[in-house]
Amino acid sequence: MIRRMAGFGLLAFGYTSAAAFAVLGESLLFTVVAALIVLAESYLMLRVPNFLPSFIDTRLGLHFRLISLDLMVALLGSARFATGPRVGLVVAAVATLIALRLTFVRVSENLHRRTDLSIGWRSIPGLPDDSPRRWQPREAAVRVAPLSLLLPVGMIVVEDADASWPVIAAAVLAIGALLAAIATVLRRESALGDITTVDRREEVRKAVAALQPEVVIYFGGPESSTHVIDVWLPILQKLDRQVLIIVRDRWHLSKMRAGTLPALLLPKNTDVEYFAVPSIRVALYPTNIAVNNHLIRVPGIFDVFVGHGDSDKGGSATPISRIFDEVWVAGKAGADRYAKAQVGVCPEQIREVGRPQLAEISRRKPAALPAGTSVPAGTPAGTEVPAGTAAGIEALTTVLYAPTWEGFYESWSYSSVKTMGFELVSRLLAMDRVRVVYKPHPAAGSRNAAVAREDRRIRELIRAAGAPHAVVTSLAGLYESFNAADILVSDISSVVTDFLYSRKPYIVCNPGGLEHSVFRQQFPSTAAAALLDPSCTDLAGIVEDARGPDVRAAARIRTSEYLLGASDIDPIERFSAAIDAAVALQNARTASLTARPEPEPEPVAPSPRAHCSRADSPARAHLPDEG
Amino acid sequence: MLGRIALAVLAASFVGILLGIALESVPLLLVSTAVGVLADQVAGVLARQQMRWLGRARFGLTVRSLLRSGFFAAGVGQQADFGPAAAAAILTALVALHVGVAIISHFDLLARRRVVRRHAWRNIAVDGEHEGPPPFRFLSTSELGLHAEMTASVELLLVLGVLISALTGSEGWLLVAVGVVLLGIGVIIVLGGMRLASVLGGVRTMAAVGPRGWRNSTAEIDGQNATLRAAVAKLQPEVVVYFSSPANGTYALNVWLSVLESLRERTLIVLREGVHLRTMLPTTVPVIVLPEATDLEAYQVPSMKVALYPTNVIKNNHMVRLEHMLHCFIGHGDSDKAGSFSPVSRVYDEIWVAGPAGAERYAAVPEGFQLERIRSVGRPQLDGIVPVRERPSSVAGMTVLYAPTWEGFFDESDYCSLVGMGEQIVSALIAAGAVVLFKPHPSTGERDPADLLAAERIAHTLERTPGGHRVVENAPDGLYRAFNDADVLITDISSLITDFLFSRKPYIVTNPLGLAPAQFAADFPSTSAAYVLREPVDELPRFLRDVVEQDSLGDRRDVLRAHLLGDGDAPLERFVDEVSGFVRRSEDERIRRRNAAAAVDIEGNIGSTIVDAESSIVAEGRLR
Repeated sequence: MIRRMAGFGLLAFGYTSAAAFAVLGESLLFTVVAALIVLAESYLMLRVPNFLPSFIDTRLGLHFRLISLDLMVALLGSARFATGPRVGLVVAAVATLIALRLTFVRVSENLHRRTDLSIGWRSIPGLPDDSPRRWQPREAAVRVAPLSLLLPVGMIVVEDADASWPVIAAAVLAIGALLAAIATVLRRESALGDITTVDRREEVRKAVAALQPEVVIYFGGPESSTHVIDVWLPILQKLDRQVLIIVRDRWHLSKMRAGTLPALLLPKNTDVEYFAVPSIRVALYPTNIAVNNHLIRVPGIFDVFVGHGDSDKGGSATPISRIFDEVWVAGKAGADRYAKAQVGVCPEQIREVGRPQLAEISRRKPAALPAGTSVPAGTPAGTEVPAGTAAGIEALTTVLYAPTWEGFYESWSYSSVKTMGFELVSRLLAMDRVRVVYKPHPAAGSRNAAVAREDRRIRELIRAAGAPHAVVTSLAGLYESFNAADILVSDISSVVTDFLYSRKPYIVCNPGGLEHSVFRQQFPSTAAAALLDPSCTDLAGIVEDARGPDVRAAARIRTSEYLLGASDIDPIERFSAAIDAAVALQNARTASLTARPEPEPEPVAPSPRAHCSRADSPARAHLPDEG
Repeated sequence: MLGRIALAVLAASFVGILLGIALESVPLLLVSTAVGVLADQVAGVLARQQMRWLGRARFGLTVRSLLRSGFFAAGVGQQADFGPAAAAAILTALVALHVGVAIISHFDLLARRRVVRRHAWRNIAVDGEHEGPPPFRFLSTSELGLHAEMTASVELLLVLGVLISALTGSEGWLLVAVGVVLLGIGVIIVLGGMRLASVLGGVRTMAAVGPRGWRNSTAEIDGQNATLRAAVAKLQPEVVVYFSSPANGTYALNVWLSVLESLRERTLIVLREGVHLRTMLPTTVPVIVLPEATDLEAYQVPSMKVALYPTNVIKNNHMVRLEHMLHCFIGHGDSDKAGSFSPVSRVYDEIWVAGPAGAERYAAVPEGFQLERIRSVGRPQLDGIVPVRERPSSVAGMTVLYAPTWEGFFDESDYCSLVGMGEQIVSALIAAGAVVLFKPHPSTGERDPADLLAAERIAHTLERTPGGHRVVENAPDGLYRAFNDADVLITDISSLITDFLFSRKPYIVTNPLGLAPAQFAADFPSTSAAYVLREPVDELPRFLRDVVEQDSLGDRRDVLRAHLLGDGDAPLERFVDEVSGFVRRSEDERIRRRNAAAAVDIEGNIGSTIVDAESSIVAEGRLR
């Protein structure tokens, strides 16, 4: 913001004073200011995008400003020389320069149009990674802008020599340089020969087709949403079928987690159609964005909504889901949610596939905290846990306190940080053989100053208590923190559902002090949790039970299976099996199409049957035989 | 021609200005500048296309004016009589002009952003107004709008100021001219600001929401819209017809309007783009324009039972996501096109097609369509066509409609019979004693003028020949009236065949390219009950005799008609019933879904888990 305002002020001041010096015929001062303007324009354009308010940029854009600067040179000439042939010379030179710069921009645009594929890709064998940069013709204009300084420099020299040759020399030099620049661009364009962008896109398409991708994951959305596709990448990496990532927005291609999976950036809907190569059998959609339609409408692909993250939320079951061939949910809870929402999605369209993202979560006893991300209390941020302490920790019960943040929409009462956090951590620290690990939510306190204050107090408290207690400050590392913990204390959030996968004891804060039965009915994920009321008085007893008899162990398995699916199967294998099933269904469809000689003109009677039965489901049997 | 001259004068004026400076000639400078300003205005009107091209080459009006006035200032500054003060004054005026234009443009941009979000309505009483909101007049910043006028005026004022100053020898006149420029621009900005304030809800609201709010806040729009929402709720619409398409696609809605007026249920047309209001045919059905996705939710009232979609666009998702109603894709016209197979159509609760042929198209693609959701409902638009079973009594006096198609966009799809066969057909008909009705396609001749010439010759022939022949007028219902007047149709491959089939009358289809009969039949199933006419047209008299004597294709026509259009002779009535049935199904489905939802016992599933947990806790407690 400050840089933008400084840029705006600098230009306003620069152009005004340049005009004043031009009118007064001050060649030297004008040249200095003009040089500053050219420098500033180049720097601002490349480094401070959109530094001007849009209404100035559309009407008084770079071209306008640079032409103004050139005209000031003409003005300077007329003020400087008043009469004589040199004024005419300067004015003619300025007019030529403006015309040539416009030409240069024009040919540069043409060249760009012929080389820009407007798509991007990475990790495609045989092609070096490429991502389109938002190219602007003003870049071409600013590159040749310094040539506008030659004439005023010539005029300074004239002041001493009292002759015409410096102006002539400057004009010839500037015009010559511009002509050379134009020639270079034209040569580069002719070097392209007959190869068009169509040909080069065809090349990319061939390379994609050669990969024979069977599974596509398709994603788009605002810049802040890249994590949604990131959670899927490690799983897709493990499939034994070729996966292709398709993103619709340019930022995802660069921000996405690094990996070996081939990825395509396809900004236009026609791109999607063009690059949907025939080997694709299954498309996975993690979000409900409108542009999903661009791939869904390509025939011959089995479309699956896979969602992302916790599926405990009400909004995830929408009538739009009917557009998919199947909707994949984690466990019975997901299927129940669709049945409850009754949005026209048929039960046989729902498949329970578990949550393969959770495969990283261990059910074993605690491991070490994420390396480099934890801060032992009492030491400055960034210091690692001393290696020697690991052995001692094993004898302790590690309690992970991972509260949620205050949230955009939900009432802040979901978060325990403000009302319970300090008391809770104090009580934990007072217990015997307990090690406290605090992992604040990355966004905690960002919308509520009181939460931020409490968060700082809790950190202070743990720091004062000293080793082996710790604060985990890294943004990632949640699952590693799970693996380091014996017990979780958290709030209503996806953290709780995810942790259930570990089957370790967990405590959910009830900062609103709701009736327990009401609370549990509202939040299925708390079915097997110990609930902690605002006073925290039960905390010691709950922790004792968790390390001792652990009365909720059986309930946790049930709840985990209800929410996350059967847990005795390897989650990756299970997901892989679901992909296999989808591929098989699509193959059957394709086979039915090729096997059928000609569509029989047999009438298809509308049947009074209930809404749900698909052409390839068992219910298909009652339909007229298609041979 | 005049445009070219204006362009040449414009180019010459720049040369004149440069020469004026080089030759130190004030008269040449002044004349060239003034001529340039005027030529720019004239060329802007007379040579629009070239001016647009100049604009794309970054040599638009703003740049031209900048160059002209910049060189003008340099030329004036060069004169001993004027000096730096004059140049500075001119520069001040130019800065004021360009900054002023930028501000005015911005005002318009802010206003436009706001205006496109207003909700418009037709045929709904909102505070006594059946149509609204009143159109907003922009300050207009197009090439020849306010900003062009401002630029020209400022340039001319400066020329005038310099001229009078030069004549009187006093710089004061130039300063007066600059003063007038500054004052004028100031007034325009104030007036523009007031206009903007009126659309942003008044100065007080603007002050309250702050500059950021001018961009984004919809507070005052919401205020205006609350009244409209109440009016819609009062209307209690049961059927929503949801329409979104590119600006040139309004016809897809227009084909439904008369049908919608016949529905029994209260109907509301929801447009997503206000532009269709201009291209829509007149209707009595209530219409609202809801530009934003969230508007749909805001206007959903419990009375809405079903939504019908004539187009299959991505924006339909915004409506389809609404619960408590059923959604149906009804298409527009005979949708033989690729778009109707889109797997995207799975999202609808039902897909309506005219006859079994349409349903088969869905059955033929393995894309997971639930075939029970596809219903044949007939084509209500054909209701104006009267089905006739009786054969005409004789060839002489029989009325034959010759309605060729146009030449199409590509040679491969040029099925037009006009050039090769048209005149032969008409002469043969006249020779047989038939009354000829001629209806060429409205686009005839757009790609190939030869077709238009042939059509004109035929029209001329019919005019000169006695016997009641005529050219059918191009009225909206002209075609169907001609269908009803005719005993037989002669046409080319086109959608017209399907429509005419509804009349049950015999039809003859031309094969001007001379395709082999088997291939012709395979490529164009709609000809399976047609007499196929090749060049030369020798067979035509025989076809006409068969129509009168045996009508040997009558049975095949019945089969084809039922296949393409469904059964029955009253398609509008049938469609009206279908909509009522759909509304009832929606009510049933609402109840079914409510019951089904109630039967799902999430609480039970969770509850048993909790009970288990609690009881085991209790048990453990006892053990301890």
